[in-house]
Amino acid sequence: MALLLVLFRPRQLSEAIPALAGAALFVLVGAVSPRHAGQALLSHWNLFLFFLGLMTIAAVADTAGVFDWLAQKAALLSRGSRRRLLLNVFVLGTVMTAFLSNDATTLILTPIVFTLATRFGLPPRPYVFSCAFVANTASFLLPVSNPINVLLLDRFPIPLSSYFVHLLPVSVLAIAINLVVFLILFRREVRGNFRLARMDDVAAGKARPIFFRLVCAWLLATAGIYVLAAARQWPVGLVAAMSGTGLIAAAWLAGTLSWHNLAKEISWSLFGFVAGMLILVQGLEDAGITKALARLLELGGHSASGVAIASVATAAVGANVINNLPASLVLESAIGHTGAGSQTTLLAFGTLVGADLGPNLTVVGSLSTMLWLLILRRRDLEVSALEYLRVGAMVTPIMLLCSAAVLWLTSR
Amino acid sequence: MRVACCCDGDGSVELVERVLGRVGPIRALLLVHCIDLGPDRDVHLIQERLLGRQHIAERHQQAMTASEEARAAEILGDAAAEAVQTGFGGTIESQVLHGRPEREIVHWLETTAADAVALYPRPPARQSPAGPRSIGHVARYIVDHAPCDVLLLRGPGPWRLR
Repeated sequence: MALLLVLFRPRQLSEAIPALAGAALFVLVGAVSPRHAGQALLSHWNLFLFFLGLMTIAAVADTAGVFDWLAQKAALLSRGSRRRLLLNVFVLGTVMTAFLSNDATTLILTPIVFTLATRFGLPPRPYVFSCAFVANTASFLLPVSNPINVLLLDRFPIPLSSYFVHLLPVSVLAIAINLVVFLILFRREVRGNFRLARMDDVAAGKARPIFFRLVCAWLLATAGIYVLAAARQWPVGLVAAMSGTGLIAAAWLAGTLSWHNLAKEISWSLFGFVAGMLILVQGLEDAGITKALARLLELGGHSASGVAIASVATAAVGANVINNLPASLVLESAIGHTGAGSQTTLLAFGTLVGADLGPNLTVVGSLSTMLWLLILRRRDLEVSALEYLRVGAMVTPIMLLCSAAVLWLTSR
Repeated sequence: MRVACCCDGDGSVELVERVLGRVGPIRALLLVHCIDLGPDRDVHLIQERLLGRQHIAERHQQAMTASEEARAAEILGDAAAEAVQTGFGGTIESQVLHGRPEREIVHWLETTAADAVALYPRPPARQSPAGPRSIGHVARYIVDHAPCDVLLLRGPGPWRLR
């Protein structure tokens, strides 16, 4: 019931309310002991810190105009070619996702690219869709590229070298497939040139050059420390939180800090939502339900190919039915119950790939969207999301299949 | 005669020039551009995917709206300038609409008492030049529902403007 309310969000109800209400009910009826609930929350402190740090970093960097500047550079480097602009948006989206996670790309880069495309007189859809898709496709380049990675790698610590051996080829291949399919799908829209002269109209976002440079340098340093932290298996949440604090200090020194605006940029309800979901999943685990779900992951048997396919497929389906964050929380618990033994790493990688790539299939990666689309269609309203579904249906299955195949090859 | 011209940005200037050259006498030229809210909605749908995460910042939302409005003003301004340049001496009216272009344009036509509406029947992607889908969905809807004469100009589509 809590999950349905989270997905349908009646009367724009915050996701946190049903999640927390469900969690409270679980504790009240004894489905989860208060001790277990507390443990479930405390054991995920890294994830909470990561979310907080990430949102702070993105908000301050956005205020400094870093992303506007990067998008303008991407446009300038395209030298007026629509196709090259698509490529540059892909590259920028990949870099942003790798170091600042898929959230930053979706919530910050997408509207900036939309604005740029409109000002250039270009059809915005190919560029907007590129941001949306690359935010998922590139979200397993690094362990910090998606909060789901942090969640899974917290539970199953894997050396960075092993992460790169298995997931770097998968990631590069998925991004390449995504790009090629987009160049084919949007070939008409990205044909020809546009007038770069209109760049003059676009706000440069560099009103405070010293602050801007400081933020850029800080972001570069954070990117390096992220990689180091992942290699040494330091908690990345701590790195994100420290980096965010440093940026707040920089903004304060530059006189640009507005606590009110910063607080508005942080989604506080997310913490309630994740906390509620963690307790709900703990309840499912205590009731043995996640153990039963582990059977799904074992459908592929114990061979590397079977494990790779089963984990990628299960996570992708889960991500599209109940959204990837709740699906990952459930699967994280389920993996612990599988008898995979030495294949646990592969299961974790497969789950990560499925949960990261899977949401590209539907617009929000959840059952609610599909039902919502049906309702809209009955009312004869325009459903632009159907366009998204069409694109997703063309690109996602290919990416998932190829990713599972490469994951299997690197695990042999 | 009051003639409406659907200016979508691709060849709007040329559309006005050709209408003024072929249709006459024109008393009033009604220039209309509709900001298609579909792509804007896409951005918000994409954001919905991040269950429980942040929203799109207000300044980005404002920038998106401002860029669309500026683009619309630019398209209509260019088209009006072209009409003046070709020596048109009648009234020029400009209108920006928001929503689904085909529906908004038809609704607007119902209120403007236009005698005719001119547009390029831009073909949708991946269609056969022959058959019922030979013209785009916007043109098709306007042909079927406009309360006035419809002038389709077999003009230079974006594929020939390159």
